[in-house]
Amino acid sequence: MNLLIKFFSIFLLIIFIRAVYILPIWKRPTQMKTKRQKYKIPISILSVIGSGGHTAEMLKLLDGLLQKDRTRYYQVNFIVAKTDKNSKIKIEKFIQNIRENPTSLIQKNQFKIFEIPRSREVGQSFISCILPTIRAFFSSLFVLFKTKPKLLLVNGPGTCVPVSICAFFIRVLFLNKTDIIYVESVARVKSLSLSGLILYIIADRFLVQWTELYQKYSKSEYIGRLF
Amino acid sequence: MKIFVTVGTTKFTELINIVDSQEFLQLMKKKGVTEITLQTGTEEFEPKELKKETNLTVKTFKLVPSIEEYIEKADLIISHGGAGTIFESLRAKKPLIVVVNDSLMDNHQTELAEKLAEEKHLFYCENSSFLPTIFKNIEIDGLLPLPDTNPDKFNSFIDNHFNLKI
Repeated sequence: MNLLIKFFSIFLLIIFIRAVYILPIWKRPTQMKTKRQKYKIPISILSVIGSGGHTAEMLKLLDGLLQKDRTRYYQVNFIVAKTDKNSKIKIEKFIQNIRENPTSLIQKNQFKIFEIPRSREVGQSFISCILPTIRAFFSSLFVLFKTKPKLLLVNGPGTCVPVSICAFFIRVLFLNKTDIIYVESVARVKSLSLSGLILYIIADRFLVQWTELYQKYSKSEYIGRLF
Repeated sequence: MKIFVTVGTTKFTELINIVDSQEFLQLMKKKGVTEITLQTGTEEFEPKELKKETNLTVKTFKLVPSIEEYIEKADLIISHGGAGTIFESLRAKKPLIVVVNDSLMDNHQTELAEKLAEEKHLFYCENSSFLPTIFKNIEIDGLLPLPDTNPDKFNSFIDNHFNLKI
């Protein structure tokens, strides 16, 4: 029994060291570029869609990616909070628009929408959000294992935090490698959002849309306003 | 001239009250405003001062799924600091006055409006009580249009990350 506990602690220690080792925060953005020369395309994207403004910004980014070269990124899956019916309608409209585009090369079934419980409703107390948070983590794991994305594209809604943490730990355990790219909302000029602060630690690339933030956070990258 | 006032999904009583005042009404008359539409959020609103002017069409409503058509019809938009409304108005190339809603705590959205005002894309009003002064001295020609974004920048960023050549 004692031996078992010892092995288990060593195992945990190794995982911990591995997690700390691969944390992107130690590295410069240029080092975070994927090293593989030839990536197998299409690159599947998992995108977390959240409330109002974030949804519009994310759909604009995806629209750009899909307009340019549809054979490269055509597999896009969405995660949306179960209670967020509005965003779901917007995604469905977005998918329909892309499908109706005559220049589109894509076939059916490359878009899927997954719903996960929201970890925290606005105004909910800390204690009452523990159970929903655990549920959110399990659904995130389920979606990540099912879709095995190469790219997790997130931009800030609360739902993106459990999904990104799960993706990071899946990578720690060598189960899959998902690159996390975070795009801070255009509404953030001088200060990061709460999701932004968390993702700053675990995201491989961290884009901001204003020079004020770029100067403040050394790991951030700036390629102009995107929305 | 047609004005559209929008407060977003919460409420902004101070702004609505300023717009519905004798002082603002006189200014609107001077500027030749013929129509004003107010979106009042969660709050019920019955115009008092505005109703006194017979040459002015007043429309009010609480919430709608999309304010796009109202922005399209307006010649000037007076709005809260919401990013969605700001960008919707600027893309429609409409002059915009953003009035900060003090009653909202931790209002990071003032950052965005302040920044865009600095770059002369909109007018920024720190407190609803300053709105009449800003409206009185407004010079719409002084505004610069917001440059369009180029999706290629983000596309090449992602391509580059995965070492994909174009």
